[in-house]
Amino acid sequence: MSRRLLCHACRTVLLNAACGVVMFSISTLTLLFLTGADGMMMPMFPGSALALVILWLAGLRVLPGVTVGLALSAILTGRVMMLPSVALGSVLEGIVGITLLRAVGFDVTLRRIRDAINLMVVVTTVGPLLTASITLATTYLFMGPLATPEAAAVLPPGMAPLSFALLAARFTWIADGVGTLLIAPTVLVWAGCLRRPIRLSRARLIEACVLGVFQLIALLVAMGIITDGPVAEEYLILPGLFWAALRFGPSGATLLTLLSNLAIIWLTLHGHGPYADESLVEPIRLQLFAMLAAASAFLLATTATERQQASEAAGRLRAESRFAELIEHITDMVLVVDAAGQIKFFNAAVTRVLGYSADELGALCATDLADPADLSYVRDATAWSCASGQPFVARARHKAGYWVPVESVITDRRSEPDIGGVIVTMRDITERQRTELELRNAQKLESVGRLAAGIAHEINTPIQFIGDNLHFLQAAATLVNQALGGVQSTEELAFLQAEMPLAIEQSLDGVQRVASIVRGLREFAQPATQEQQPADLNAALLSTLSVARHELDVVADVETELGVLPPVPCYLGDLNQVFLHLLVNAADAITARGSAQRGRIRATTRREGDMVLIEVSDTGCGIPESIRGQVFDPFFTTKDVGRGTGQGLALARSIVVDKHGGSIDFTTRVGHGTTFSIRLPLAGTERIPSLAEAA
Amino acid sequence: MSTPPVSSTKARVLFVDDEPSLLAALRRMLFGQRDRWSLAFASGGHEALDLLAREPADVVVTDMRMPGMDGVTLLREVERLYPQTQRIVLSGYAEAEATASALGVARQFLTKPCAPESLIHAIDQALAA
Repeated sequence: MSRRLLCHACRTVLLNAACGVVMFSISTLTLLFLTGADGMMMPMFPGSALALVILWLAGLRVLPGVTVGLALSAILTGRVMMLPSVALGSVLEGIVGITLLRAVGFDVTLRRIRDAINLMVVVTTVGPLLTASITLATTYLFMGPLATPEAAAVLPPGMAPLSFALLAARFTWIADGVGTLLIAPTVLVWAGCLRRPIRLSRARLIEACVLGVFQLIALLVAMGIITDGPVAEEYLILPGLFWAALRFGPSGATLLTLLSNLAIIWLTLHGHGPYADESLVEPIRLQLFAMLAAASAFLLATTATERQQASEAAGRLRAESRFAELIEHITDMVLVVDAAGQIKFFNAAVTRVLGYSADELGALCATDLADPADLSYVRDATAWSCASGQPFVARARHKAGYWVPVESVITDRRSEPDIGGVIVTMRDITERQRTELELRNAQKLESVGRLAAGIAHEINTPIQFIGDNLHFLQAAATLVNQALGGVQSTEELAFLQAEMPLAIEQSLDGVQRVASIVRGLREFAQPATQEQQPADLNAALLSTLSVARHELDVVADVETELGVLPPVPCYLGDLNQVFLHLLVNAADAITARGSAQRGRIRATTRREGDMVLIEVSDTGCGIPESIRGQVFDPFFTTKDVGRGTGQGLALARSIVVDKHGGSIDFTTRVGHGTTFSIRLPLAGTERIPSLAEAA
Repeated sequence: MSTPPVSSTKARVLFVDDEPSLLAALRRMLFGQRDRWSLAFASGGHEALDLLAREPADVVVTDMRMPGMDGVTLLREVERLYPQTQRIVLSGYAEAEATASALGVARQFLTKPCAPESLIHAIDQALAA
């Protein structure tokens, strides 16, 4: 513990020493080389600027080092009279400046115009005012009441000590202001720049060099070095500064301003340029020029930077809002769920597919959307999806209470502060499951249909010869009976004579019926066609009735009322399925009513304008109010396990609506029966060509 | 299955099917037509052609799906050798019927099971042609 304390102390002492050395060196160099021959004229003093910057960057703990460094430089350069203003004034100015800048929320990176203005106001008014006041007081004291002979010698002849003190204070103010205005922004900007490696492209480097040469020539011309006599146009250095400000930002502008002004001051003090005059007015003109040049370049640089940042920010905002727009409009659901399970973000698809309002979603946990029974599966699948990037299928709860099958991919972005959660992408796969189901069903039906057709064909030949034989027997029995007409008939023979024709007739009737069933089966099991073909729906309905006859006859009498129908373009095999489902459902509804009385099933067809209407009504149990909305949903069934799969009506709707552009609906009264109505367009449907057909 | 020569006043009808029971049943069922038609029966395409070689028929009624020689081949041969002979198909397969129809090998197509009246009517029509 004490060692750490010691280390800390050592470091502070070293830091103080370093700051002291820096302060001492720069202050001494300025006092030696940037002052007039009389030692009084000093266009720029960097002490307070350095104190401000170093105290800002290193903290108040380096106060002793800074003060000592400044004091030593004043003493060793023989300016004891300036000691208070150099040491005390600079340090005070630094502390006050920092306090004021902190109070106005100064940002040291100097990327905003307000920071530039704040800095300039503080370092050119309040701070220098302090130092100037100290100068005024000390100069008056040393020249007046406490005057020594040496000091009195400095006083110009005929000048009152107070006047001299006021003049000194004015010089101090401006010198201090120029110093801080030139140095403070430069050091602060560069301290920020140097924290990160500086990368300049080749083109920028060349431009910087060209700018340097340009500015050097401008300086030489402005200060009358390479022209004959003092043509002396100091404003020639301004274009270079503005160039730097616009192209190289605050860092380039401050550096070039500092270097240019140092050069101007040094050259002026050595008798060059427009301000090289012995009069007391010229130094002030020089200082004002330096200040204004620095302020202009600095303001221009920060303005350019701020404008560039604003346009970049606007660009980012535009890009962000464009992406937000994209995500909002994609059909997949996108959610962000934080570590606590709270839904932090969702797009419009979520509200559309799952039915919750935006407010409701904001209050929901992600787990509220899952089935509690699935929860452990969903957790495992989530981890797996995060690791593998693969989708998994789960169920999401719709607001209405039913389940939506969804395919989800989870991406872990919990470590990214901008997202701070997992990204859940969910796709509603209801339609896909329905299609898969239809495909499976269609394949099953096709194979059953093919089998049925094969069996029907095989049965045809035996029916043919059974029928032929029975016809022969019928004729033979008649002949035999005629031949036996005169024979004395025994009781036995009489029975045979009476029953034989009946037996043959009923057998023939049976064969007729087998033949019609087989014909119906063959027509029912139409091979699936790619194109809609015109078909006689009445004949189709009749063939389906003959196939379903067994199921229906047990519970109900079947009536048909078939109107005149033109051929309807359709997929006949599919429609046969629909008719069969409706007829079998009707029979089941009558069974479910549980009455001993036979029910009635009625199939009607008629034309309605450019539509064909097919109705199947029953006198069954009816459909309860509560489930009317669900009867067309896949897998919805009221039948016992093994009796129904819940696919019949879903499939029927898909065939009628999707494949034929028709409609299917029902009217029902509980306890009285249900009527299903199918409407098919006579014009058929424009089918969207598949890829294979397009190729 | 040979039949004795008959007088030329009776029309001669040849039935071809690989199912013997079917041929026997046809023979019984058409017993009533014995005064008008003389019937011949063959259990396959080759046998049918042999019979025709011995005594041509006015009408041939054949199944489509048969082992050995199928109905289409048989009817093509009959058409080539005996252009005067009328050709009728009696088949249990709707597809076979469609094929024969597309190929134009027969004048009429009957589907099993076929009512006696329909068959008799079809043969009468063929004989009248």
